[in-house]
Amino acid sequence: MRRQLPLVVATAIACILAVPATYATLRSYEILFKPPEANPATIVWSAHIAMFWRLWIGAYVAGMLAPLAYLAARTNLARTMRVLATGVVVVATMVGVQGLLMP
Amino acid sequence: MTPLSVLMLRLLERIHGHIGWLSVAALLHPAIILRNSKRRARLAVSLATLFVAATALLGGYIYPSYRERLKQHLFIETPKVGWLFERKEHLAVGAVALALVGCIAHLSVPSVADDAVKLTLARLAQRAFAGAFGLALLVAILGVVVASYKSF
Repeated sequence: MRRQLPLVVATAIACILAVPATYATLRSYEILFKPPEANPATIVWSAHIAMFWRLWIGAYVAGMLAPLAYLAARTNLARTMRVLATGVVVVATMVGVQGLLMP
Repeated sequence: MTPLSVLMLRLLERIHGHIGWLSVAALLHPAIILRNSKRRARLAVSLATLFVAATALLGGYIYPSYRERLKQHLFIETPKVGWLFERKEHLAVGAVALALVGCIAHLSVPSVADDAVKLTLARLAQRAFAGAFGLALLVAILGVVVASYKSF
């Protein structure tokens, strides 16, 4: 179990990072490539909560990424951790840029 | 909606705001002390992440009510403030995820045998908390701007 733990940790980190990365990508795609959305001032209520929807898609992507991340960690743990450490900066930047410039 | 439930929403919103600022303060601590990669701060890391998670859960709980009762009015009266709230929710997603990543990374450092991996994991945790702090600070500032304009 102790030998498995770092692999599980790497997988968990990759999965959690995948959620905001997917979220920021989806929102950026909506802003940049989809037709303009309805003005929120004209919408009384909608059953579709876009934010929760994007989070669920992020969770789904994280689930798909999990076996790949586990395999990568099992193949080369040190390299996977280095990639994840860079991934933290990339995801923080993605969220910051999307959140501030493409709300 | 009964007056009591509106009162409850107001209360939850204020608790959400206050815990949010506490989270910002709590995240600053690990962001600073974990610059020393040998430093262990399990309690500070766990508490900071707990604060962030509690804030996020509370925010998620009152979010549907915000959409029902405030969002449209906010966008009719001051679209700029409405868009500030949208920015806040996007940035909050990142802050929560980075805090969780930082917590998992820091708490798992002792379980790793390889020194190089240990160092990478410790750096990863510090970067995650620094990022979470930056995003959470922005979220808290935007939250105050929105809440000072319109509330439940």
